[in-house]
Amino acid sequence: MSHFDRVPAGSPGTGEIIPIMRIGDTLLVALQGELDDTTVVRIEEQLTMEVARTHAKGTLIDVSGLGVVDSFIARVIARVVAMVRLLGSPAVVVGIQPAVAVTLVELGVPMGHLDTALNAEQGMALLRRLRADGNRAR
Amino acid sequence: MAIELAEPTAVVVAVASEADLVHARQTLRAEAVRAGLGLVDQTKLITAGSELARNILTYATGSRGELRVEQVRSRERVGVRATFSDEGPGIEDLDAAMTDGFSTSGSLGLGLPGSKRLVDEMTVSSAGASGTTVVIVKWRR
Amino acid sequence: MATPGVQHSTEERLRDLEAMLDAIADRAIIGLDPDGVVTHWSRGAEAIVGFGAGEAVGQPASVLLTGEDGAAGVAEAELRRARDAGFSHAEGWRLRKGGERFWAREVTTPVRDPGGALTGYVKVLEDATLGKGAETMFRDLLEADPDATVIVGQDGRIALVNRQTEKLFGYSRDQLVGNEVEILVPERFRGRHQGFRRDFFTDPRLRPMGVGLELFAMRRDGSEFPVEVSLSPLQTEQGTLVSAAIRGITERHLQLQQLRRQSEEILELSTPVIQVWDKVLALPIIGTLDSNRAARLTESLLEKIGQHQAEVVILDISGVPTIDTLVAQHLLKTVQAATLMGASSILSGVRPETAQAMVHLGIDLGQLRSRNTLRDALQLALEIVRDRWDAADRAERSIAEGQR
Repeated sequence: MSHFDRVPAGSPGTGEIIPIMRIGDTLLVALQGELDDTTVVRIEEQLTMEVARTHAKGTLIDVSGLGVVDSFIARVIARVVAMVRLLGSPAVVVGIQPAVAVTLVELGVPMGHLDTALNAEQGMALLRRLRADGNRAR
Repeated sequence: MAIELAEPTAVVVAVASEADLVHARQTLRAEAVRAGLGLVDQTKLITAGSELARNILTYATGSRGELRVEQVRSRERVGVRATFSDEGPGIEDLDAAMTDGFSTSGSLGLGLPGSKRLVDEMTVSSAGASGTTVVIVKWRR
Repeated sequence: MATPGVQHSTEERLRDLEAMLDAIADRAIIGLDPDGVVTHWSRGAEAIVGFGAGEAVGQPASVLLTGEDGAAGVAEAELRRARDAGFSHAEGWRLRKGGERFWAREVTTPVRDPGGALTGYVKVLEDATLGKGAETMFRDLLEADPDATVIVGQDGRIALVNRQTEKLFGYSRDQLVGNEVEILVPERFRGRHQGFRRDFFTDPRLRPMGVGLELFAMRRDGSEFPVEVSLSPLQTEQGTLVSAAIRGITERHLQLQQLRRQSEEILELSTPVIQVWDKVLALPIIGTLDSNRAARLTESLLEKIGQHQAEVVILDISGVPTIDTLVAQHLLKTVQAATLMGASSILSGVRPETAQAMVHLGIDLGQLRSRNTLRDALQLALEIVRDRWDAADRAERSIAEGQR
C-alpha cells in the first residue's frame, strides 16, 4: 500500500541527508537540527520537484526537529507551502515547537495563512479535509 | 555608584558567511544554556541573534562583522549579552529602522523591531561610516 | 512725577531717591496713587515686567495681574489690606508685557502725608520664578524624595543633596556639597566613574546608570553596599546638572523582591492549564494580565498543548477585570502561537460590558470564536474536535469512492 522513497537533499559539506519520504500519495519531509541557508533553499527546490514528479496529493512538512526558526527559514517554509499549493496539492506544517511558535509570533513573521497541525496523524487528517475542500472548490 | 564589569570570558564569532550564522546560533545557544535561560528564552535569544547576524551579511560593508557573546551579572540576575558590530555604512534613520515594515534591502524588514521584541534590552548605535553596533541582553527569569 | 504741592527741596530729594530706586535692578519699585494707578515705575520694574515707565504710568496696577486675579478684585483687596494693616505681602502669578507668566513676590506699603492722610502706595516686587519660590518648591520635592538624590555639576562636584542622602551615606550635607561625587564611590571604581560621568554630559538623558552591571556605593565609614542609580539631566541657569537618584538595594529590598516573585508564582498557580476533555484544554485567566504574566501564561499553555497534543484550547477571560488593548494583544498573540502549533482557540467568558469595551476600543480578534460561558465554549470545542475527524473520515471515503 505505501512505500518509502528517500531523496538525498542535504548539503554536501556536512553530508547531511534530508529525507523526503513517500507514504502512499503523501510526501513527508522532516527538517531537523541546525540548518544553514543553503540547505534550506535546497530542500525547497527538492521538495517542489518531488511533488511534481510523484504527483503527490499532499505534503507534510515536519518541523518538530527545529529548535530555532528565524524569519529566513520561516519565509522559505511559507514559500514551499505556496509553491506546493500551486502544484495542486495541499501542504501542512506539522510539529512547530511551543518555543518556536511563541518566538515567531513575537518576531512578527506573518504565517497566519499556513495550515498547521500538532503531529503527523493530525496533519494527515487535515490534509484529507483540505483535499476534500479543494476538490469541492474545483 | 560604581560598576562591576561582566565576566571577562567573551566568545567572539566572525560573521562573514552563511555558515557563520549556524556558528553564531550555536554559540548563542551554548551561552544561553550556560546562563541557565529557559527553553523559550533561549529560543528567543538565538532567533534574535540569527536575525541580527543576518543583518550584518545583508547590510554591512563587505558583508562582514562580528558577534561577541558574554555572560552578564546584575545584582541577583544573570543573563547573556550579545554585541553585533560591523563597519558601516550604518543606519541612516534609526527611528525608521526600529519601525515594523522598514527595510532598505527589500526583505520583510522585521529585523530590528522584531528582534527587539524577543529580548529584554536592545540598543542600536550607528555612527555613519564607522558602522553599526547592536547590543542585546536576555536575562534569566 | 512730582506730586503737586510738594516743595522744591523735597522735590530734589525725591529725585535723588528715585535715582537710588532705579539703581535697584532686581526689584520692581512701583509707586501708586490712592486708587492704585501707577505714578512711579522704576527701571527694575521695566526690566521685570517689560513695560517702560511711559507705558505704565497712568495705568491701574492691575495691568500687572493675571486676568483671573484682576477679575477677582485681588489688586483692590491688596491695597485695602496694605492700608488697613500697614503693609501687605503677596505671592502669585503675574503677567509680563508679552503675556508670559512669572511668579511674583510683592510687598505693598501705604504712603501717608505728615497729617496721616493716604497719598498712595509703594509696591516692591521681585521675580521669584527662578528664584526662591521655584527653588523652595524644588527643595521640598527633593526632600520628599524617598531616594537619595545627589545633584552634580559638570565639574563632577556635588551641588545639592537631600536628607535621604545624608541618611544613606552617613555624611552631613556640608561634608558632601562641593566635593567630587566620587566621594560616594568605592575607591577602586573612582577612575572609571569619572570617565562615565564625563560621557553622560556629552549625551545627557534620563537613563539608569550602568545598565546590566552591578553598582556599589560607599558610605562614610568605608562600607560598601549595592545600589540602583537613575540619572536625569537638569537644565538650570548654571547649565546642565545631573540628578542622580540612588536607591540602596538592601537585604530587605531583596526580601521584598523574593516576596513579589513568590506571590507571582502563586498567582500563576491559580491559573493552571486544565485538560477538560480529551484533546481540549482550558486556561481560566484570573486577575490582571501584565506583559510578564501574559508571557508566562502563553508559554505554559503552549507547553501543555504539546504535552497533551490538544486540538482545541479555551481561553476563559471571565476572571479578567478589564480587557484593554494590551490584554487583547496578549490574547491574540497566544491564539496565533497556538494556531501555529495546530490548535484552535475559543474565547469564553466575555461579559456584555467587556464586549462593548472591546468593540469601542476597536479590538479585532479576527477569526477567533467566542462564547459567553465556559460550558458553551466546551460544547463548541467538542464539536470542533469531532468535526475535524469526521470531516477527515468523510473526505477519505469520498476520495476512495471517487477513485473506485
